[in-house]
Amino acid sequence: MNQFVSWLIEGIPYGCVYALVAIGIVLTYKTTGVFNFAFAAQAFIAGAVYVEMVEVDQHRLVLFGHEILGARAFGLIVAVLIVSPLIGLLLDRVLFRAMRTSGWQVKLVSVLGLFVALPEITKIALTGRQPVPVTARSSIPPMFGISSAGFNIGTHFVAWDFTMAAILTVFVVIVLGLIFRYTATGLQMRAVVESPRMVELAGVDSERVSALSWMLSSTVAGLAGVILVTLAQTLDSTVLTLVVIFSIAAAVVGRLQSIPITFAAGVVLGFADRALPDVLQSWFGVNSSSELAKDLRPTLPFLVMFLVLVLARSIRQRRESADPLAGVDPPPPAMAHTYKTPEIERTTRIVFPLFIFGFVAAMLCLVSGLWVFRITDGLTLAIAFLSITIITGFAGQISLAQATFAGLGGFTAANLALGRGIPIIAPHITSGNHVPVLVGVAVGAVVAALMGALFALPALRLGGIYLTLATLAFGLMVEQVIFNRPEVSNSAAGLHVPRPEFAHTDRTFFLLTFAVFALVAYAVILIRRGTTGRFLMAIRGSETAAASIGINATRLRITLFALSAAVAGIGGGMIAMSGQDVRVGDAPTFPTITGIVWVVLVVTLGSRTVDGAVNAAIGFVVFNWLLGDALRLEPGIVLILFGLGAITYARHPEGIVEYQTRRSILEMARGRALGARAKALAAAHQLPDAYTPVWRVVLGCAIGPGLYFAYLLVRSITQLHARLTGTAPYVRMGGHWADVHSTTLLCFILPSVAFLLVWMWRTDTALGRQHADRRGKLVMIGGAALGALLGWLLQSSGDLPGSALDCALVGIPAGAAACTAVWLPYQVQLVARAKGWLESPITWREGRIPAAFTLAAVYLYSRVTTDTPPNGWPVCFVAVVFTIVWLQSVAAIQGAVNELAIGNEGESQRRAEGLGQPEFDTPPAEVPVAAPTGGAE
Amino acid sequence: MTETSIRSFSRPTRPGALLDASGITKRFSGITALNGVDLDVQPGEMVGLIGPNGAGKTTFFNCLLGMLRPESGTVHFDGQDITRLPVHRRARLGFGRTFQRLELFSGMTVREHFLVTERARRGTGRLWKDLLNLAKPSADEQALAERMIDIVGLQAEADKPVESLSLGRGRLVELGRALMTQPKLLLLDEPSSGLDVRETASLADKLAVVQTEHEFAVLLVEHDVEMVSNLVTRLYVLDFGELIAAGPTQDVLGDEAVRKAYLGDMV
Repeated sequence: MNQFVSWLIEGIPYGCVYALVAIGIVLTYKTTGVFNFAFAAQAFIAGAVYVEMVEVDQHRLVLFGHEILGARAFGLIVAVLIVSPLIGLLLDRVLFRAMRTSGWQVKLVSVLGLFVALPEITKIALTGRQPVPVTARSSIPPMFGISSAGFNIGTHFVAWDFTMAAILTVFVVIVLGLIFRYTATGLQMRAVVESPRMVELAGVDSERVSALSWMLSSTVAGLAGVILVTLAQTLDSTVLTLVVIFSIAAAVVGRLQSIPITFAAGVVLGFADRALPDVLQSWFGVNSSSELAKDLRPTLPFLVMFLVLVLARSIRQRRESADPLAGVDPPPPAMAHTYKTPEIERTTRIVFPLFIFGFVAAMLCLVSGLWVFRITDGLTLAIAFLSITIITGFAGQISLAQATFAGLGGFTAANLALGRGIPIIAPHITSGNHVPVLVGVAVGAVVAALMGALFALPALRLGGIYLTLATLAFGLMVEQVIFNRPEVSNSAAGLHVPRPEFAHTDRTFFLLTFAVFALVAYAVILIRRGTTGRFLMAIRGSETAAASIGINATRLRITLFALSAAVAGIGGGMIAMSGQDVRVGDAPTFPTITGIVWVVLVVTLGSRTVDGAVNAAIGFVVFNWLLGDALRLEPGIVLILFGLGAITYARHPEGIVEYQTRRSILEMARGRALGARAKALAAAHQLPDAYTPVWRVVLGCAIGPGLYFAYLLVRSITQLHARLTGTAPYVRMGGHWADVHSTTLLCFILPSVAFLLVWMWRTDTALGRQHADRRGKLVMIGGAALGALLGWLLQSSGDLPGSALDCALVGIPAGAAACTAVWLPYQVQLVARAKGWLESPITWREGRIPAAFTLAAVYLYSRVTTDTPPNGWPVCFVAVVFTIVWLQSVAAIQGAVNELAIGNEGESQRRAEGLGQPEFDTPPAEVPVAAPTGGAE
Repeated sequence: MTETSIRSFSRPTRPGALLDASGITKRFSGITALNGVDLDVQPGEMVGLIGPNGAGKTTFFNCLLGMLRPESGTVHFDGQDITRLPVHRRARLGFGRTFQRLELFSGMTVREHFLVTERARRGTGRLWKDLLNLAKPSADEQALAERMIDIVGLQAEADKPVESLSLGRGRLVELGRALMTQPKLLLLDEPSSGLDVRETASLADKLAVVQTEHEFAVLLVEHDVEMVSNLVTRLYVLDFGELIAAGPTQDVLGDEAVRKAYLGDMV
């Protein structure tokens, strides 16, 4: 009894924190359909603000000589009532408003991005700041005028702030319950999630309602954060993780519906968490300080969550409610490959093998050892990413346990290769003999697939978000209970993973990885093309109709889940071999959180195609290098960028790669149509002056960079030749050959830059003649001046190498180009409006990306100085990406200008529709839009 | 005729019924959508189910097909108790259906719809076949799809994605897809809703032609009394979840209770 009271006293305050965060989660899920994983991070920010305010201790309200509000009260007010609602409002405005009508996948992925980014942002904001204990455990009392620090129940001391935490929590629960049940706003909040559009039809401003609910729930999270800080007396990420897990579990127990049940669950979880170690010790004799007890403690919430998810009937039967007005939305765009014309396919067929051959050859001969290692690492990641392509891209389910499946593969392979058998399942199977590591990988894949199937059988009956939560629980549980076992991971020492005999060097291992990747990728493509892919497409189109023709969606999903687990297992094995060790502890190889980052990455870049997975993996590696090694930024920045990148997912759920591909294909179709018309007009001598063929402009801009890359290639080859034959290289150039400031670079690039500037000038003049704004020159010159200033400033602050004059000179074209990239589309808009077109062929918004790219790329390029060509290739990679973005932008602007000159409005509208959906119904006569299967013309 | 005598008309089930649903009751949190509905369809027979909006017609359909679980009652199909079978298993037993709101596989062409259905019917699509690149439609699958395109008369649209088709054409695609499953019983859920008079007539014609050729049974849920009365031989009338009449079409349409409850000023 005595012990029970002490569990209560120590457990309940934490329980209150879990309950508050969980209530916030339930609140936003109920009102906006967003499951906010990032809530704990929001709570954390509020806690940090509170600590900051108390520390600074400058604000207090003194009236008539009496202190009415002390520093703590001020901190509380600022953190909970000002900062937290603002964060909520900001998130709503920036992020969630745009996706009110999106499906649950879009909402979930964006939140996952936030979940990855927010803690990192907080961490960076807090670096250099010690985790500050708040002085004494009496944060709230002054506000209530309670001076004593606590009271006694029997022999137990109860601090006042513990009591206040509990009282405040109960108060919040009651207030929220009242709001929901008895106010009009509460009713509107509940209605908005069903169908924002429907609610709007009923005359309710659904944006206001959703903003309100975000602010409300964020305030609740903020309160939780402040209480947490005063309880835990520290701000560190382990506490944060605990809160995340416990609060999600409590929210799940409340079925994401009931605030009272959620509250109760949070409190009980807090209590149980406190009681568990003692119970284990007294009932099962598990020493509370032993490893097992430590591992078991965090598994409690996972177990609770998993059991509730799998056993509760009401969750299993609940399907995501569909918006009754969802039919208003245009259908999702078709995949890019359905737009491909025969010409494009023919070109691909020739270029693609050449590209692969060139890539492999470069990797074997040209690229430096370090980069071979990095790219190989990227490829192993890409294999694991393909598992996400299968489960998310094909089956439409979001699994956060892919890193765990990879871990199952990796650890199994490692243990087998070291003769340790399959841990836990069959430890003595190898009887001490070393198994070839590739066999180990295969067995690992099988183990992962079995575990996946075992998990999927109960879990896949859950739809959507619940499956995602179950995978998260599963991942965390496996990580804690299985990976942490010494017989699996050899404790902190980790396991050394050998590479196969025939592929132990980096280059040969690259070949092996590439082969494995190619096999897996081909399998993925075959699945998409085959019956399974067709069935999945049918299910995506209409699950009811698919069932009505006899397709068993559940079985298909379970099969795919197992298959995706197997692919993840293979990827995990390859990752293990690539890094040559697997470990848990401080730098774990397969932490569950990584699985979340993976999903965010793949889905943002494109989850439905193989190239999406490859781009995500290679992009991850290159960006890691670029931001970490080359620019020496905090490692967290990469996560923040990728996390925030997920926000673009809301706009392009098919993925950025997919979107860009489709866009450029459509752009080409339009170009061809205009070209044909221009030819006809030219034959009749009616071609207006404003028309310039796009290829001429693109060629002018591309020729400089093109020649430069050719030069680099020749140079590298001669160097390679020199290295192989031991002679001196033919082309000798010292110093910074790839630096923006180098003369070599400039003599290639300058003509193109000059061409670009002239083109911008002329285009602006031409547009100026057609009722556009005439201040274009001013904008360009202003941009140039700003660019020069920026270059000079960066140089003088030590951010850029080279002389001040150099940097200023580089800044001139960069600044001018960046400004014009936005300005010219704006001009086109003006002209289109003057012509009475409802829709402009291009909008200034489309200029933002090239503008940002210009500045970022010039900055990066200036900062990264390289010496020998092989090391320079990654720089070239960045440069190529930049060049392509710019050429696209130039082509788009010139295309729009041409359309203004000789096109008609309908065309631009059809094109705009074409971006949203394929142009099937009435293709404009001249546009050779592909037959959807890419077949018959 | 009193109401009770009409009700007794449908009971007891005639032996050899293809579909026999008895005592189907479904409640949605307190609202009784269906209350002990009995219905049977003989092989090769065309039966209509009519009723005002909200009478529970679509709910009844969904109970038949397993998209909803009734609280009580049983469904027998071809002598087998299918009350607890999942939707896709029922489909394989020989249920074909269309939907009131179009449920097409967006992104697929008309031909692909039929090919996918044929593959699902055969149940020969295996993951390992995909992995060995053996999943291409075989010649006879192609031929079957081609024939169905001819039957529903969508030759011109065969290779267009279904999003680009009009509602009427979409209904034809659904009909073709349902026929591709080679159903013993075709369930049509308001096939004429959203169609104009001409399209409705052409749909009814096609249906009649195909039905005489393949001799499957049809259960037709409709609003359009004219279309129903031209097609079906027997008629059931639902009102507020209760079966208020059942019998040969003309008898039912002439019935007082039915006129009062549903047809009222329409006939």
